[in-house]
Amino acid sequence: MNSILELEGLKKRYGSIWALNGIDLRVDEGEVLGLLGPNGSGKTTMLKLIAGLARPTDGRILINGQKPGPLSKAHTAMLPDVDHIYRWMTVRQAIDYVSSFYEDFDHDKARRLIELMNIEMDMKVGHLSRGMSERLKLVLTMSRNAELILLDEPLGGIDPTSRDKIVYAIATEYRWEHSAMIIATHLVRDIESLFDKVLFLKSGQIALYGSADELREKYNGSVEDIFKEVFA
Amino acid sequence: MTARSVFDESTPIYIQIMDMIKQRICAGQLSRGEKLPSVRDMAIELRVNPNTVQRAYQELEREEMVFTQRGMGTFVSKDKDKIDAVRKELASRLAQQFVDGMFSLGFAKEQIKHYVETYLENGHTTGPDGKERR
Amino acid sequence: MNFIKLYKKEFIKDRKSFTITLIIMTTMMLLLYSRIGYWTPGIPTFVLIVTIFGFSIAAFVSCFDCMGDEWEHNNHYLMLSLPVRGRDILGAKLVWFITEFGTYILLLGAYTIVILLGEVRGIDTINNALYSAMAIAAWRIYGIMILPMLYVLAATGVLALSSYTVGSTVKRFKFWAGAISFIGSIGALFYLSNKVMEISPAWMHVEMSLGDILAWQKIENALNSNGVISADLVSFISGTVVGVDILALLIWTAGFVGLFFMASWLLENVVEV
Repeated sequence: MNSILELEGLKKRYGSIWALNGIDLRVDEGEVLGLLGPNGSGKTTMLKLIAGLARPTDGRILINGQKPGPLSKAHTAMLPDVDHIYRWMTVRQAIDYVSSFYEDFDHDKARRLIELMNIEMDMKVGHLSRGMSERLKLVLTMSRNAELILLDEPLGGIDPTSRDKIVYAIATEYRWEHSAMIIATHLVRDIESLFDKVLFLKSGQIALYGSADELREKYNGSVEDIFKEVFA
Repeated sequence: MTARSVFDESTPIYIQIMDMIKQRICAGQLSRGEKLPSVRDMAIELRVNPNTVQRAYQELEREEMVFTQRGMGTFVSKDKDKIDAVRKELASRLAQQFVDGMFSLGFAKEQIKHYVETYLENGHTTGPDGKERR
Repeated sequence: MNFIKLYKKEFIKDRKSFTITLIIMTTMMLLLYSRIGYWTPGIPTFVLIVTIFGFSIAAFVSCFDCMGDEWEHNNHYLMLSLPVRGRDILGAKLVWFITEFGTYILLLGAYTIVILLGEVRGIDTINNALYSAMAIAAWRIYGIMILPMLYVLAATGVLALSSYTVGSTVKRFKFWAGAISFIGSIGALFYLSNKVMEISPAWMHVEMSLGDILAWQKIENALNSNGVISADLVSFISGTVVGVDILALLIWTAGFVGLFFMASWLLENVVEV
């Protein structure tokens, strides 16, 4: 079993605050990891470090044996929790632009997802509603056959009808045999059935980690129930 | 289209998948020797993780309800006796759930028997095929 | 090639304003040209010269902007998540900057000469021979200034991009970090090049006399056939020399190249989102 991601003693400090304080983790091919925790627990920081958008204060990150950099970025797809696409571009231009940098971009998948998500191709990104903007980000992320997929709050601030589409899209387009996926969220209920393993992050450290089903058995409740208990 | 899977997230999902498949087999919806949907297709249909479905299939194989042929897929067991045994097991479980439920509502043994008999005589006992269930 | 994709993005982003500016510029030139002879002599030329100055300042401001754009609206998330080298990102911005403002200034320069010559044409005391000699001189200056102008643009661009990148490596006081980088770079390069010029051998100095640049001979002939030339003017022209020290130029260039690659390295290894 190939490990796609390895974190060793990962630490990140911002000023005097330790956003991450010693994370050890291994994510294998085919795994879907739920990265759970309230806002400010370090989820976004962890994903940013893996994506190469921030540098570790200490510790190691290996993506398929490589440190984060231009090479790992070619195989990592990240959906950030902010709107990061140029507002002056149209949706069409945005997709053309982003797809041009990745060999693993699947245009057929993109077409399917665009249709599913009902995205206006000629609208300017700056004019998109919150829900549509989130769906566009998802198209850009899931159209890639990336080895490591990082989703940071893919359901954040989305109305329930849009949430359906997003979870459905993630479930159908996920390339189980070749990819690993990490989904960071605090909205657990809608998406927990997709998780293989879950990692609860509390104040930058691992509070709980294990297989979703095993935890269900052990705690006699849903992952959401466990979440409430851990972060009460 | 709902986002939530059809399962109860409070108990291990792979066990619920196993039960669902056993149910389908015993009810005849999946015949002996029939090919089960691929892990991926089943995962999409159920809105769960493919690895969870994989685990369910593996456990079912361990229980000898299904068998896997390399490169061809997973198939329902052809062993009639095995399936019958599971059928009986599901029946006992159903009975137990029913009785436990009735007890917790405060009914006594005789009343429970009465309920069952009344339903069998007067209740909607027509099956989905329109025929009377005996 | 990643560089080309990034360049294309910069171009598409600015092409509307680029086109409109060129159209306005050209319209303005045509308008001024039509006013030659009607307006006070010298005004049209003056307007254009002021415009060139304006654009030079705009160039300076704009190249800080082109990096700043990425930090607006979290665009730098996208920029830094692409599988591209820092030098491709900065190189694309630099080359587009030179393209855009190089075009503006080259065009404005040409328009200015056209207007200037147009006004000169109207002066009675200038005969055809003198006029064509002056025209030749004007265009020769234009031609010689092209390369230096582009070099200065490129240098300004590199300074702006590298300063901004340095500023973006810190969480607070970004502006001051950038300013220090900017001033510091110029200061260091000035110091180095001066030191070098002290020891630079004579053959490193490349010079051209003003007379050669202007093709002064023709002008002198035309003036002579007309009347008397001021002796001061003649000695000024033949005595003045324009030159550059190659070694100093190399130092500056090496400095700019170094700044560029330093900024690229920072983008790849230090800058965070």
